[in-house]
Amino acid sequence: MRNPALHHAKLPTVTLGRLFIYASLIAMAALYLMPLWVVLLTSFKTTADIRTGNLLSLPDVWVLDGWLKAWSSACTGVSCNGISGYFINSSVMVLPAVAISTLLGALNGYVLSMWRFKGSELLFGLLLFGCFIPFQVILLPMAQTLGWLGIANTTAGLVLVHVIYGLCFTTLFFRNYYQALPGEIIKAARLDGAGFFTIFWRIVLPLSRPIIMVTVIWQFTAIWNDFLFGVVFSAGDNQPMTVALNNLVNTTTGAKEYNVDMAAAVLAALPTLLVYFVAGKYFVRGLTAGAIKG
Amino acid sequence: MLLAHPQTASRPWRWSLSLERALPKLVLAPSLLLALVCIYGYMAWTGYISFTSSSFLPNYEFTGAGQYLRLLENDRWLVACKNLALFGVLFIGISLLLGVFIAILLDQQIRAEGALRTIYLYPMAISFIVTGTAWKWILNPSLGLEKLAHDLGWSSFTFDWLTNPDKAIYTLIIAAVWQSSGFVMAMFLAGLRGIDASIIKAAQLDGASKPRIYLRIVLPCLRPVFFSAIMVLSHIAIKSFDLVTALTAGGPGYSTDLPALFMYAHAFTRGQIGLGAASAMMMLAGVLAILVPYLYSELRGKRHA
Amino acid sequence: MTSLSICNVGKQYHKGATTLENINLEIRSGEFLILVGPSGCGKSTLMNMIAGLEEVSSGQILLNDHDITHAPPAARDIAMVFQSYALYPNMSVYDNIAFGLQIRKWPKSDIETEVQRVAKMLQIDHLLSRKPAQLSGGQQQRVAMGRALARRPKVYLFDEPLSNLDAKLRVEMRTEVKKLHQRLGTTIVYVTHDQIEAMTLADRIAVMKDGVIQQLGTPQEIYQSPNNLFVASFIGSPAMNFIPVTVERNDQGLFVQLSDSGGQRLNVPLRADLPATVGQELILGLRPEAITEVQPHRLSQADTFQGQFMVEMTEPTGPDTLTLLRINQREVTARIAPQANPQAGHSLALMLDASQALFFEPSSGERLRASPQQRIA
Repeated sequence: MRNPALHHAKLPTVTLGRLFIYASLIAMAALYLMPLWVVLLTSFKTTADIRTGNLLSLPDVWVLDGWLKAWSSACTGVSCNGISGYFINSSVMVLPAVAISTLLGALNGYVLSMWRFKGSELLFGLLLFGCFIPFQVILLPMAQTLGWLGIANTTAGLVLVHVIYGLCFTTLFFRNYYQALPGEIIKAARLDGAGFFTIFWRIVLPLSRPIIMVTVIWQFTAIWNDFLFGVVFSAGDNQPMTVALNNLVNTTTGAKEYNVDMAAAVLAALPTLLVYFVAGKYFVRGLTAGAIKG
Repeated sequence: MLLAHPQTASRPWRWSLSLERALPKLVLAPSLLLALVCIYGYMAWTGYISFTSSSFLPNYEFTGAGQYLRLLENDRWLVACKNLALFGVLFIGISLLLGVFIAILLDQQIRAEGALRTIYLYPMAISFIVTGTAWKWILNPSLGLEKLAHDLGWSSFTFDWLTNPDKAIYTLIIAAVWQSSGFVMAMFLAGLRGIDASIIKAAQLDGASKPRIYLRIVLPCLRPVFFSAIMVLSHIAIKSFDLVTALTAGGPGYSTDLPALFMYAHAFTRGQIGLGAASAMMMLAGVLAILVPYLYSELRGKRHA
Repeated sequence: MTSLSICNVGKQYHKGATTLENINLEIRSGEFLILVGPSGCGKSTLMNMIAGLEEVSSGQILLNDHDITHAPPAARDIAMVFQSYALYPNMSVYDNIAFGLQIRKWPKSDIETEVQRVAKMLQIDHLLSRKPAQLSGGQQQRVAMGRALARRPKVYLFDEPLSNLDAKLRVEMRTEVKKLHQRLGTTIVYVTHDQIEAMTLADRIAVMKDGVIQQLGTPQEIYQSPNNLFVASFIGSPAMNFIPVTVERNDQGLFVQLSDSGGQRLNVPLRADLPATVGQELILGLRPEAITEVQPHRLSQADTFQGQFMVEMTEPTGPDTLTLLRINQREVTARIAPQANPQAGHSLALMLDASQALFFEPSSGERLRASPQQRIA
């Protein structure tokens, strides 16, 4: 059927095209990886090495000085105890904030999809809007409220803030997921005599594994990486990791130690990167779900 | 047996009925109420404060639109808005181009697609503060790219964008594109995978070339993806605060200031709560200006579908 | 023993979707009642209201003379089999069947016995440890029925339970459902849009359209004596033939005229007790089996006519050959024995049994009945 000559003539151009595709993709990949590579290299160099070498040169000697100093003795503003304490702050904050916002989001989504009532769609729409507002419009009153509650500048206060504004996303995720579950299952369970919570615990929640993964990863990434709420609603020793990193980088006492900065940056990025590399599938699903459905 | 006691037999569920009915609402109420108060109540509060002369502490005496007039005369605010426009257009444009390009390349039955996808998207998992820190080092005027070029033999190369007030805004764009274009790629790849393969087969049978198929058939099909990508990216741009804080801190001078940074500085460090509130409301207006037409077309589209 | 009464039940939606009006049904103990109608006729809404899954706007539902109109589903002791089966995907077959019993706090050993009994009855006892996703459609269907049976409820509701099965399996399961009903003698309300399912299974059929019950009766009543054009056209496959006619009078009384392909006129008399007048437009309904090959021994009967008809198309089904022809220029289907050898393009002598003819009033669609009207309620 095919003209053999034509077929042969076509072959080289096809491979050239493929070559172009692969070359572009690999070049892009190198560009995307470059910053991480530079940061890692720099974190293992000595300060002297940094001045003599360049971004891509390998360390003369691989040292952990930058890492150790970043962890335990670098200055972040006034105190010079490294970022270890802030790393722990972030961890202590992120765990309850993720757990609570996910659980509440699951319950909200369950009600808003399977127990709809008059006006529930409107409520959902109102809540959805919370995903979009620039948080600048709530910073001032929230700071005031946290002050009244006596939890200004505490981890508990940050957890509360993250839960409230995370609810918009978690509710959206669960609601959309539950919306797609066959409603007849719930009807069947009601006829079997199961009530609101029985259906939730015994039927809906066991079916929610993928969306729980998506939500937990989304919330974990968002809360761990948050800077705005951290810098506004916390102070001193209670600040989260991102704020501490920024302070560390901008603290100017003596010569700039880029190896320390870079080690601290890697430490700040490590938890979310780890989650990303382990469960990237769910991370991507959350991103696209949040974007398209939102 | 039931017939013997019709009254008592029917009673147990009557009592539990109202509770079971109300249960969904009861479960929803607290968290929803909290969220709604903290969204709408607080928005109203900020809106009100923007019409007062609050400085270090909130002051509830209504003074009219003075803060907004001050804002419009404030050179720093105007620079911030101009920067946002430039940053927004270039950041969104470049991210889209790059993201779509990579997505199309990745859609050509690439061998290590999974690994490549992971590489393009990993910056999205990182905090903007980390991104800013890393790029601040890479773009360092003396020890960064410039030194690398010198070491490679290009001795006349200078790269001082971070300290050059006219160029510093572009460093923000570079870092932001690096972080977010992978996300565009992911969205478009998902969109491309969702396109009915038989459409493409039909076009191939019609004799259309690959680039033509993408330009004339595939990309037009992905219009909704374009819209949501632009939505998300413009949202990132307007809220952009962490990146600029870490990379340039608005400097040199206030040449890279952005509205989010302006709001934070005035509301929390300069003691001009009223002005800060007014700038926050302006940001909200900006988001609404993008969101409302988007949602409108989205809802209309759904109704037509 | 169980009886279910639906009295004046209505359903109004806020946004004017399907509305049910004054539905009255008396379902006797052990009866197999089928609600049939096109999609959107309100049959599923009615079933959901019986189950307690949808609010009743007006009227009452009584189960054994207890008002359950507003009782929650769990308090009604009603089980339901869904079109999608609605098996709990996270539970094994065993747990799917046992779930309702666990909720009702049955002792463990009783649950075990009951699940085994039901599983044996439905021949799914070898599947008890599987998850629903590992089952074929037919097996899932059995599990769904098992879940309903295990509770031993007062009333069973079936919501198009066989629609998702392929044709062969559907016929098998249909037989099985009928056997099950005969064996257990349970009260069943069954919703379907498939009129064959309705005819084969039901003790009584309620034909619904636009939220109104058009007719309630045994399958034979519904088939032979439809209340109106809708019921006549909905029940029966191939559908009843409808031919517009005008009433005329001769010395024997009122009649309508049909003409064969050769233009020969056949005068079909109207029964004297039908309330028709000369010049009235009517629609004559004739089932395909009333037009057959000529059977000489029946020709002598009253109201049988013979005519020559041009065959336009044939559809052999095996036992019969469905044959397309024209009466009064209208396309009409006849059910003819294959031995008569109808062939497209050829003329054929056929026999019309006008005693089976029904007459409908065109504007209302109501069937003309001997006056005084006596509706079967």
